[in-house]
Amino acid sequence: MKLEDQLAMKQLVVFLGTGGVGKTTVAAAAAYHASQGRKTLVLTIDPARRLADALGVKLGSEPVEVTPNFHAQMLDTKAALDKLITRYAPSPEVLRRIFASKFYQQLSDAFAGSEEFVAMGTLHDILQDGKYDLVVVDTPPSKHAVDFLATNAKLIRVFESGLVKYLFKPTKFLRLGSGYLANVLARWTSQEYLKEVADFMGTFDQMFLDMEKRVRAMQAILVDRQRTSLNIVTSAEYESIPMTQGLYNEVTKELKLRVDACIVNRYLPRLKGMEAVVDLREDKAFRQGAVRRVTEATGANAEDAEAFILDAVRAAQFYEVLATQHETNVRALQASVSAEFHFIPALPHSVHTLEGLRAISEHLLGRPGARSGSVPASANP
Amino acid sequence: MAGPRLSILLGKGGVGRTTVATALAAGLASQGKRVLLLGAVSNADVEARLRNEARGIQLQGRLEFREVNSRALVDELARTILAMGPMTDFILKHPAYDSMVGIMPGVHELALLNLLYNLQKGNEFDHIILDGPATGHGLHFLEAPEKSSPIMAGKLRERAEAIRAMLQDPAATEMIVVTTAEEMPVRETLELAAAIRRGGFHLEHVVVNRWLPAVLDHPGAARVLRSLAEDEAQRAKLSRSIAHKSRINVDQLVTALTLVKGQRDEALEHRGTLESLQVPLSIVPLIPDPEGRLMKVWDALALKPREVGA
Repeated sequence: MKLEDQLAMKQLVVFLGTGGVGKTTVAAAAAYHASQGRKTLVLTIDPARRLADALGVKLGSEPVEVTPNFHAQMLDTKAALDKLITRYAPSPEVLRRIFASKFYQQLSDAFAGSEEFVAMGTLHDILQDGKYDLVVVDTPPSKHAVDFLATNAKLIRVFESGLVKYLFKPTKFLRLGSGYLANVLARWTSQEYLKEVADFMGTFDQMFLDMEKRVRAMQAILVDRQRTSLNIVTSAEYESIPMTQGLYNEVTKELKLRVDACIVNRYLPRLKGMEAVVDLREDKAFRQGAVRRVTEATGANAEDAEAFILDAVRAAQFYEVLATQHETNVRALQASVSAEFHFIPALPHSVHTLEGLRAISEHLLGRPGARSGSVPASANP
Repeated sequence: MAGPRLSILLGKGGVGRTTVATALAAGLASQGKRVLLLGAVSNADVEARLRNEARGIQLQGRLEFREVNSRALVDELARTILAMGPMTDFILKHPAYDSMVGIMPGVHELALLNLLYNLQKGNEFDHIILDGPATGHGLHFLEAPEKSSPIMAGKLRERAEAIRAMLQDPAATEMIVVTTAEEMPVRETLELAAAIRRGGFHLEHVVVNRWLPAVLDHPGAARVLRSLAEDEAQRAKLSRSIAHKSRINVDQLVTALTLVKGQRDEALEHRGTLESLQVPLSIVPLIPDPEGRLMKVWDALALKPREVGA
């Protein structure tokens, strides 16, 4: 399904992608576009600092309205976990003890490294509140790009293994202190630490019951094609292609989900007449003529114009080589990925202003209101 | 120094870390070293392609790829520590163990480090290269032994401390950060470099990958480009004057040049930031053509006789 239709119809639009392909920018640009017609939130995980400034989001902050109907929220895993614990702690005294325990510090450190767990929970609460028509998610930079989607399944396995139910009977767990299992565990960890774990878990059995409910609800939303769509963002670089193919295979074959669109970011389209510039390299007489023409057209002195022509030839040659590679790479990708393809041409500067986001969204989706081909004429190989 | 040398490559996803790791491995093997390349992030498609590229290279030594099977490593670690005979199998097969391994913090990192430790004690290789996890995970990876040591007991704790000592010994281990000259990768490189130093590890080298060639640096050329980019009338005049002689499209040319120039300027700025780290930099040019790419990257890596800059 085309991105434009997803943004008009779905409740949740997810962007997946391997690292460094500009997922965050694409997600923000798509959300900006959608906000022209629907109340939209982009949940962003790790924006470049200047983009975060442009969106006005700060770590740990509540959602902010960037422009009318366009809201942004940045995920802070540690803060989200603290919030969750605070909500369920039976008393301030217990809360203080939990926050001071080594177990909790380690747990929150670990969560800081696995944003997908917290992202999933935060996302669930946002959807539950129903404040937005559409939520756009920029997924975390996971070890594996599918970890975000696989999170729920992993947690459900934990619940189903019975481990949680066993551990959350505090009496049973505390009795471990002198038993056989305690001796086994003591080979791994200290008694003091085990007491902290028991303390934590005993206090929060209600939290884990709720968590199980949330995890199952979230999984149901993710696989519901009426409500949710999945997109892959990629670059056209040589290295990105097998990574994106791998990601696509995992999503479609292992998780059995469908990929709606594939967005090729920072694409260098073939441009008209570039070979003719490259040909100047071989043709000294014409090159001299070109210097004169540039002088006449721009009023530059001959020295500058000559430097320009020499550099233009080298840069054009470089551009041609890259654009040809991009074309080849994307063709290989299109042969193995079955989804709607969208192209965003490379821009001279990194995007970190609202203006930049608007430009990206116009490349991707056309101007709001006018249904237009987002693919540059020569970009669709 | 006893045992093989260990190089750990870290860096943000998408900067070409795996390519640099493979080029380093292939280059060392071409010089007669026995090299093991370990991939912390397994991706069959990427690996197949790199194996294929490395196949064409004349090796004086030996190059072995090994995919890191995280789960098997955790089991191996558990066996070492538990040492309970038949009971061990019972525990490893239990669904509770299985599900815990999926979510337990730090256990995968520790298991991988345990593998490195065992390999480093062996004599099968001269050089072990770990194509490490991406930055965020890279930090947790390096911190795993320290973070987990206080909560662990017995053998596991001893092992974690031995691993940490190995990682901090500059004679045994070096950290190499791979980046591109772009905002986010550079920012993560700075964070990573700070964490590496804070943790008492040795940052050997920063590799700046996909470096753009020096085009449009001439101030006069840049002035002409800006003037054309800003003034449609100038472009139109040049188009008319050139139209009967050539198929050159002035508008498209100016678009392409502005793009290359903009990226070049940003790259120079970011390189300046990286130089402030005062760590040797290798500048690896962007190599669009896959043919012979690995050896070109190896040639650009200043990791052999050390030197700074391009």
